[in-house]
Amino acid sequence: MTIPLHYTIALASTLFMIGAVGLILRRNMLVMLMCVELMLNAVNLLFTAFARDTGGGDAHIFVLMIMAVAAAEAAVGLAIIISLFRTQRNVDADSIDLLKG
Amino acid sequence: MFFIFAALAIIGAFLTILSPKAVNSAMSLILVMISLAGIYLLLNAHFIAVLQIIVYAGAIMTLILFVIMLLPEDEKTKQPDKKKILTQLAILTGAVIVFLTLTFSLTRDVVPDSAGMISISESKLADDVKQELRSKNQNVNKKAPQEFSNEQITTLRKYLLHQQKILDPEFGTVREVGRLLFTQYALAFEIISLVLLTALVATLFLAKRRLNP
Repeated sequence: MTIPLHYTIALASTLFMIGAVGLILRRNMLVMLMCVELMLNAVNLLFTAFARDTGGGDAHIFVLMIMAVAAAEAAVGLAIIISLFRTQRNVDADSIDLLKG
Repeated sequence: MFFIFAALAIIGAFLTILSPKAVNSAMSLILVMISLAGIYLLLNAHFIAVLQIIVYAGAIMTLILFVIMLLPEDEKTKQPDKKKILTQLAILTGAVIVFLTLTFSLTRDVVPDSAGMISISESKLADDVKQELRSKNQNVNKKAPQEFSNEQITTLRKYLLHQQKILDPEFGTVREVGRLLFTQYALAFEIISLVLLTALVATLFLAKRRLNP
């Protein structure tokens, strides 16, 4: 079964926009991190769809790199969140103003 | 099949950004990841689908769930009143952009000269390629019609497949992706390992140190 390319493009862009809106709306830093993961996944889906369409295997390597970078980003982001929680006692993105002097 | 997975992914994404508790968000995000793995399978990306489940649904989401477990529940979940207009504006903008992308991608031909690779079975393909190889062999090398080397066969096979718009049956398998990763993209592979090492060290540093306010 072959999926038409534009179906996948539509799905990927919808997922990406849901992630972006969530990133703007939510103030909990954990949920914001999850929204970033969602957006990265949408991009991965797009890569895979175009790879299937053109028959080139190179895009899969890009997807692999994005996955590795996402894993690294999640680890560092979560470490920052925990470190912030130790000093600030909450994970609300609006109430963090350490740089305000 | 595609529509089932797509509907699951979109429902999961909405639940991710709308549920008030972070744990429910994480669970919905796992649903999205697994549906996307199904779609990768439909797109002939077997290796990526397996990695999606192992790395995303397994490792990253477990990490996030652990951190959710470590942090206490937020008491004040309701938004302040002054943010209300901003919230509505964000939702409106998102909806408009999604609508526009959907209209464009569903009504117009996004990629006019889309390759549209068709997939055929391995056995049929093998005969075709062998036939072609034999004829090339006679044309090019009439004096000594010996067998080609493995590398030449691979290259010629790729060329023929591309010419006939046939999807390589090995497309997306572990073998093919691994071959690319360790030959053509070996440098990218090394850079990935460096990135992961840096992230490891940075995480250790951040987790050990105490921020001084």
